[in-house]
Amino acid sequence: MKDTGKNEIEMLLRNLAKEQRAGLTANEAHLDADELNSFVEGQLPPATRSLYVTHLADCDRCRKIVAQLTPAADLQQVQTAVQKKRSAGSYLTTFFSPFVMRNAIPALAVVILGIAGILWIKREPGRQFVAEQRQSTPLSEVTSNTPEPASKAQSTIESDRNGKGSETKATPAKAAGRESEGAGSASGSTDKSATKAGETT
Amino acid sequence: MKLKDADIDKLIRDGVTRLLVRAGDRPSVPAHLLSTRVRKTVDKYLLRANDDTTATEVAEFVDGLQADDLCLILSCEAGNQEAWSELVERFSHTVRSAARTATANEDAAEDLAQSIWAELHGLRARADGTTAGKLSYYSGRGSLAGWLRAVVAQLAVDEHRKQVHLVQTDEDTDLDRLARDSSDGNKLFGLSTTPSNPEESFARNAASRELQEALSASVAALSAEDRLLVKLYYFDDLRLREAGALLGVHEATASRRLTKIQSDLRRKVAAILVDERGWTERETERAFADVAPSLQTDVETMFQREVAGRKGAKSTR
Repeated sequence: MKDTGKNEIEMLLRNLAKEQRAGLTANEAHLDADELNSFVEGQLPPATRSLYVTHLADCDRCRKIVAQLTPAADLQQVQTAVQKKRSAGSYLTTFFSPFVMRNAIPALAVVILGIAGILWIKREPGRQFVAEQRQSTPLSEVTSNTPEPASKAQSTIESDRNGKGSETKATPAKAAGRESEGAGSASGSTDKSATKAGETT
Repeated sequence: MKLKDADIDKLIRDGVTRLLVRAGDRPSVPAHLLSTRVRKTVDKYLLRANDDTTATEVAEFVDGLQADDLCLILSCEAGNQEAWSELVERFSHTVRSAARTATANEDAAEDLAQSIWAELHGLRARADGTTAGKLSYYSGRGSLAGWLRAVVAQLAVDEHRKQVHLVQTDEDTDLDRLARDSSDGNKLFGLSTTPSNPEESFARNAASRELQEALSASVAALSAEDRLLVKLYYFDDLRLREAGALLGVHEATASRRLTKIQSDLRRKVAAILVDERGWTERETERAFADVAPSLQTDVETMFQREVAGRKGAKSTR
C-alpha cells in the first residue's frame, strides 16, 4: 500500500512538473550569475543561502540554471580539493615571501646565533675545569686507576681466541663450501669465456 | 551588536592586505579598488541578510574569497592586456565547454562563446572611457570558472526563453493546442480523452483537476528546502545525489527526506480533498489509485496521437 501510495504521488508530481514547465512560470527578480554560482559551490553564509533557497524553490528559470551548473560543480569540488593541496605550495610561497625573507630570517639567525653563543660559553668553563683536574691529578693515581682497561683487553683477547676456536671447529663445511665455490667459479669463468668467444665469432 | 561602517571598513582593509599576500605574484592591483569590490561583496552576501554579523565572520568571509581569480578580474577591468590574455588562455576551454552543454550544436555553441567574451569585455564605454562589461559582477566568492559557466548558462537560458516566447506567438505548444481543442468539457488539464462513458470521463476529469490543485497547494505549503528538493528532482530531473549536494546533504539523506515529503504530500492532499472539497476518504483513495496512472497514460497517448496526426497531415500535403 505504501509503495503504491508513493508511486501515485510520484506520478502526480511529474504531471505537475510538466504543466508548470509548459506554463513557463518565473519570478521577475532573478539571481545573477555570481549568486547562482556561489550557491552551487556552497560558498554562501547560512542566512543568505536560506534566502536563495526560497527564491529557487519558486523560480524555474534560476533553478534550471542551477541544475545545469550542478554536474560541473561536482567536478569543481574535485578541483577544489586539488587546489587545497596546491595551497600547501602557496603556503610555502607565503612563508618564503620577500617580507618574510627580509625580516623574519635575519631575526631567526640572530636568535640561533645567540643560543649557540650561550651554549658555547657554558661548555667553555666545563672544558677548562676538566683540563685543570687532569693537570692536578698525580701520575700514580692515573696508573692505579687504569688497571681495568688492560684486564678488560686481556679477557677480550681470550674470549676471542675461544670464539675463534669454536668457529674453526664448527665450520669445516664452510671451508668445504668455499672450496666448491672456488671450483664453481672456475668453471663459471670458463663458461663466460666460452660465451664471449661465441659472441665474437 | 551591529558593526559600524568604520569597523567594517577596517576589517576589509586588513582582509585585503591578507588577500594580496595570498594572491602571490599577481600583477599588482590597487588596494583601494580591491577594498571597494570586497566591500560590495560583503554587503551583498553577508550584511544584507544578517544584521548581527560579527567581526570574525567578516574576516573569515574575506579570507574565503578567491584571491587569485579576483585580482585577475580586477586587472582585466583596469585594462591590463596581459591579464586579459591570461583570462582568455585559462578559461576559453571552460566557456566553450559550457556553451556546448547549453546549446544544441557546435555552431550555436561557438556563437554563444563569442557572445560571452563580447559581454565580458563590454561593447560600450563608460563616461571615463573604460569599457563596461560583466566582469564587475564577479565577486570572488565562488570560483571564476564556475562564474563563467553560470554566465554562459544564464545567457543560453534567456535566449532560449526569448525564442520560445516568439515561437509561441506564432504556434501554440502542444499542450495549449490540446487544451483549446478539447470541446465537450472532457478536459484532463487541457488534454482531451476518448470517452467510452461520457459521464464517467467527466467525473474522472473533475476528480483529476481537484487532485492536482490539491497537490499544487500542498507543494506550495512545503518549506522552501523541501519544495526546492521536490522541484530539483521532479521538475529539473536532477539525480538525488546532485539535488542533495545543492542542499548540502548526502544522497541517502536526500532520499529519506524525499520519501518523507511524498508521505506528507499524500496526507495533505487527502486532507484538502476531504476537509475542503467534501470528498470521502474512500473517494480520495480511489482517486489516487485511478487518476495518477491515467495521467501518465493519457499524456503519453495524447502526444503519440498528436505526433501521428501531424505526420499524416504532412504526407497528404
